[in-house]
Amino acid sequence: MQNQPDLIKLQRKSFLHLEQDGLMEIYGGLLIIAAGLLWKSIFVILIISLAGVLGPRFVEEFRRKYTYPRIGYAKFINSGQDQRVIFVVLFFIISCIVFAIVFRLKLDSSDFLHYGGIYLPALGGVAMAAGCIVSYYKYGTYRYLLYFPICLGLGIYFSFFNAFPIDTKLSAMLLAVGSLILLTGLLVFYRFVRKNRLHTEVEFNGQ
Amino acid sequence: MGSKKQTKEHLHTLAEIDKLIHEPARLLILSHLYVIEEADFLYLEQQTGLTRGNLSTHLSKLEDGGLVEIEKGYVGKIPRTVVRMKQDGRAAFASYLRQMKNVIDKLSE
Repeated sequence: MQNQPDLIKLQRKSFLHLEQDGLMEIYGGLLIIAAGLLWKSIFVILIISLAGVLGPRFVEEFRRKYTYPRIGYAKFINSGQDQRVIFVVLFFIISCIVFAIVFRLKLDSSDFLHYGGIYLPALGGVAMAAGCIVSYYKYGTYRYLLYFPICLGLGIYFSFFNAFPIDTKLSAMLLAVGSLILLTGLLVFYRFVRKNRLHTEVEFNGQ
Repeated sequence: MGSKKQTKEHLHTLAEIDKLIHEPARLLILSHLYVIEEADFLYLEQQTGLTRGNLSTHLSKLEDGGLVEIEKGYVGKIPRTVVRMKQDGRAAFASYLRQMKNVIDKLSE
């Protein structure tokens, strides 16, 4: 007998309602493109870490201006700010350790770059595909499921089936995936703005 | 005898149910507010499908009953009303859900 509100379903519906603007995809796409352009630079760690913290704030500012006046505003309980900061700090520390091991302990960097150049696009594709699945389960947006085979396929393609020089394979893969996600985000945002009119007067007339 | 006693128990449990929450429109509003921290009027209007007048009336009743708090403000020149559930409201809603579950469980025994 099911006559109680399904709160988990409601929460997913709320997530889905606010995720229909495509802004997270625009942000994600830009982040992946930035990583693709700067992946050889040591600054990439700093830039991605900063983007991980500041990016959602920019998205929130955009939503204040374009999304909330159209479909309303809601703030979720435990919106993940704490986990996001922990994730960014962990990413920063782990990346620094990897860089230290590769460049400071004088491992055979030519081997590392050779095999890294070949396998990193596939590994990156798998990591991004996993991210898409996690995002799908969190937000319930079906578009994220669509990104899963794209990330995986492009990762494998750029690792094993193309003529790009080894040191540009990862960069090319990140640029391809990032551009696709950015383009989809822009299309979704355009449709969202056209579909939802701006509400200029939303007032509570409580007695 | 046992059946009569059970019916009495059911009626007693049903009598304890919070009427302020039990009304369908208010139950819908509270269910949406329970899963988030706060929301504005437009969000609730779109999510519940209630008319503005209806939503306003029910929010007033919930505010008077001490379950939600309503904050009126402006974003630029646009008025915005933010609604959030009070701690007491959350406790009352959780208690309502428990009571309803008990009633349903007992009825299906």
